[in-house]
Amino acid sequence: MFEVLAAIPSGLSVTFGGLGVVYLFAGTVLGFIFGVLPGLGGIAALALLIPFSWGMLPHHAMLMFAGAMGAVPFGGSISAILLNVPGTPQNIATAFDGFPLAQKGKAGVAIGTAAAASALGAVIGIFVLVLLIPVLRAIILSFGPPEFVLLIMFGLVAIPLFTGRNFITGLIGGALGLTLSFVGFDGTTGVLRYNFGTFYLYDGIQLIPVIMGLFAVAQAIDLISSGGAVAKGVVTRHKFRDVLEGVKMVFRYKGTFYRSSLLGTIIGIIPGMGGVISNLFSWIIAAQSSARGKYFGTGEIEGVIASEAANNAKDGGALLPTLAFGIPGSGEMAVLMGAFILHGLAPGPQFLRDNLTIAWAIIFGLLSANIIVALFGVGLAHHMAKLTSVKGNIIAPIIICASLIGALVMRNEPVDMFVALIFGFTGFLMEKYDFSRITLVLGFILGHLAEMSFSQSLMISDNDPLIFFRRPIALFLLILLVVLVIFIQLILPLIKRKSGRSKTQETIAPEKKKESQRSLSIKPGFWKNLGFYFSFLLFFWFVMIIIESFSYPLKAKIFPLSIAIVSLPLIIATLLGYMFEEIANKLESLKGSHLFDISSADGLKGKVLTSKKSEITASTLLNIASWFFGAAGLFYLLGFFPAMIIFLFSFLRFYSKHRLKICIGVTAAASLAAWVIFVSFLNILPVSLFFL
Amino acid sequence: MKRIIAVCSLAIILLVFWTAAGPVLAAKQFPSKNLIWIIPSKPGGGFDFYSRAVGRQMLKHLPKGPSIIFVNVPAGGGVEAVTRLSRAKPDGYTVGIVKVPGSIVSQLTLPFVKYDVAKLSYVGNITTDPYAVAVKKDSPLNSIKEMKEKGTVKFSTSGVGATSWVNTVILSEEVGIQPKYVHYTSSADSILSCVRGDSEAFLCPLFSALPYAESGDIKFLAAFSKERVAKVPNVSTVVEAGYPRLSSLNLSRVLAAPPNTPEKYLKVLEDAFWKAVNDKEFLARLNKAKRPIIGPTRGKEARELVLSASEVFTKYESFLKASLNK
Repeated sequence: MFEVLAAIPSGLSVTFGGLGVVYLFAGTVLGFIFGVLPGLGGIAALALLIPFSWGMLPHHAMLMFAGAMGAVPFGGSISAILLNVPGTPQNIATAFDGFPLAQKGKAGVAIGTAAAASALGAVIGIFVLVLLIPVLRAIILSFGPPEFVLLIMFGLVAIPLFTGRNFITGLIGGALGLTLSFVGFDGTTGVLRYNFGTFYLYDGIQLIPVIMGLFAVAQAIDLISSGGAVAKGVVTRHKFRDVLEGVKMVFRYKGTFYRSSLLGTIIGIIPGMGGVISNLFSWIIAAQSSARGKYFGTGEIEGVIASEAANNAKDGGALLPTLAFGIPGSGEMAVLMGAFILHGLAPGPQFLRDNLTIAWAIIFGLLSANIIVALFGVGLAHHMAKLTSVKGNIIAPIIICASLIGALVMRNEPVDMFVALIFGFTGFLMEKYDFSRITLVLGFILGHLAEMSFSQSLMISDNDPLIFFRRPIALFLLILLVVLVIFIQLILPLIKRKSGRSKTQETIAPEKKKESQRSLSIKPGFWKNLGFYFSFLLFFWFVMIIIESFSYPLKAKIFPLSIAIVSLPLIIATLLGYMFEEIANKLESLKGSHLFDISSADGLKGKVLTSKKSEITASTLLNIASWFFGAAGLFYLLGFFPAMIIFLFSFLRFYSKHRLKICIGVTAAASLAAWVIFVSFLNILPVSLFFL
Repeated sequence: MKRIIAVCSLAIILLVFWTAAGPVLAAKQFPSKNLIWIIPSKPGGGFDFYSRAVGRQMLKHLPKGPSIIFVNVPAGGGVEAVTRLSRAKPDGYTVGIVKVPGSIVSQLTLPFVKYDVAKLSYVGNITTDPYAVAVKKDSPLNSIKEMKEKGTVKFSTSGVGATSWVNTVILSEEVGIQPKYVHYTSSADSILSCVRGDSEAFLCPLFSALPYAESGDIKFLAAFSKERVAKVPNVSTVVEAGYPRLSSLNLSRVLAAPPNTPEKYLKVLEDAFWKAVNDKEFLARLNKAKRPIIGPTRGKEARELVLSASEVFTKYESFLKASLNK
């Protein structure tokens, strides 16, 4: 232990003496840009820096990587807050609360909070890790598939808590996410599922296009269709003082901050859990334990703290296992490990013995990068926040271009662009008609992982389900889960019922019951409601899942089939709700009386801010769709650069009807930025019809 | 109407400009414009690394000016990459990596594969990584023979259909082991599973598992190669264990071009490639980086390597298909 600490001074001198700082700074800037741009994240930044680093001094290269790694998460949080476009999937929970804050005109506060939570979270992450070094190996080796199953269950049982305004449709959103996650070839059973005869779906539906679509594209549609800017009807002069206020928030909600940092670190250490899970779980737990939990998702600053603290603490958590045992804790770390090996620094127990100086340099590099971007963020937040007052119909086409490039760049698969757009319209309609996007994301990220870990557990135990009771950590998690579910489901509602017997539910609900006894009356003009058709599409999806399932072996269909069968009555009820007034009322009353009282409707009513008021017509939606799909087609035909120029200019001119000067200016600026970043700097030319 | 005309004319002008620019610039010398190099995996990892390293080295031996654009196409475990390669124009400007045996096994077992590795033109084989079978350090098993005596062995793999799975299936069949499986989705997970004790053994490229052997978490039982691997001289081979046929279970990264690529262009690429993989200083750097180049060959031998691997795996075709549908 003493030797470890004794190497600190030399680590510091490597980091801050000589050229090291320059490389660190260069890496930080690149990481920040990659974080801000949707679709590009830590993996892309590292993968592109690795060949570039070939031939550099090892410690310079490592500092550059550390800078990029440290800067990505905060960069991603900025686009999540300002535009509801998570820069990387790891910032998704930041968008849940950060964006509603921006809509309320508090973007500066949110960025300030995110900056402070990120930087301090990273510090806590490293600190906890250094303390944990003696037991690190035991932690890593005690999490196998059975433990994964139970950890993931914590996320899945939370789905009913985040259903939003409408319990039933919120659950359907979760079921949709789960079923979507099962699409593609399953390496644990060897079965190709739900690909509907296409080769494209062999790899399943990819996370990046889904998230690009659900958030970025959906946001662009919303901006165009509702008019105005992100901060709706709020006249705010963004001041530096707001940002400082945001920074202070981290100290006000110390409990949430410490808990989230700790959780992020632990999840970072566990190999295979990945970055997306750390911020989602942290957000869920914060929502459940906070006194203002029911307002989460509507612009609670605690939500931003929970997500960002965990997100940055996780990098520290993932770093040391990578260095010390050669066991990468996340996707980024796996790529980073490749870079270590490339520079002749083999991770493993001998690494901490032979390369202590570099180990410390990486840690300091990671911390400095976090602090540099945080300071940068704090200093500029009130300027960046002005973006929320720019007209939506200028920003939206730029978001679309960035999303299409983001969806395309990593896999060079043109279909990914169209998938992003499909999920964009899905996300937009879901938000409009109360199918929660949050539950969809939870289901989508956790579904297949849960199923895989479950079947791996059974393979380990030779089909003995008692494996979940035999392994001490699994058993502990199981007991914890049962206690939590029993507590939340049974005891909490009992307490609440005792204290609030005379309140709303009891008085209003019986009246409604009486009403619903009468004969049904058809809602006039229900066929004009887009929500009806959207629900019908979802109904069709679940039916397809059930039909497709028949031919698969039991182990491959048990999860998807049961989920689809359970969802079918729910979606039918929703459809009937669109047709009959009485059923709609009954469904309305259900949301107030379900067992999970924490997020029951009233809390999330604050969500009206997401431009619910403006009813959208099918023709507007079709018009927007033809523009966007046309853009994707053009991207495929011509390659992104000429397509981007044509699309941006014609959209601004003919759809948004801006003055020629503005059209040319915006198009030129955006295209130039794209050219500098993608073509001249990264040497990326996404594929097109004439180019591969 | 006006706006439609405006949009269309703008589109056409740019379209003409974009498509005309390439061919006009491409004149006598080869190559006179950028090459495209298709990588059958995500950024990061072995295929990505070898492609970028060798590609950049090749540029030093090609006429100055043009560069290489690397395109990662990971879909379908590399199926999409080889499909695009085989459909590309045979003008010498598109090359790509073929995974051996991955791309061959896909062609044999997956119904939707449209390419034929036998028809591709070959530039050369970058490197052949031997596979190895390994167990946990304190495992009672010390050799393939002892595995056979034990009868049933639980293997972790990196997923049904993956090369590590294919090789495990063939090893069990050849030796006469009753395999049980725990399938993961990456070789790192399958190694870790064995270190945790959730599985008894695993197969993976020797160099992927080497750090774990050096840290004392695992031990190698045998290397799937004809001769002992220089980096690990005390690990015996499958030939010594009496299973010479298993020595063809390895992982080659072969550089190929579309079918019917003209000989004159192929020759330019092959010469540059051959100079690159024989550059002493370059090889020393790769060695230090623990990504050595082992057994590189020219195009002709690369083609033979692919064909002979096809032959080996065709023998197991029905057997693999049956295991796939189990």
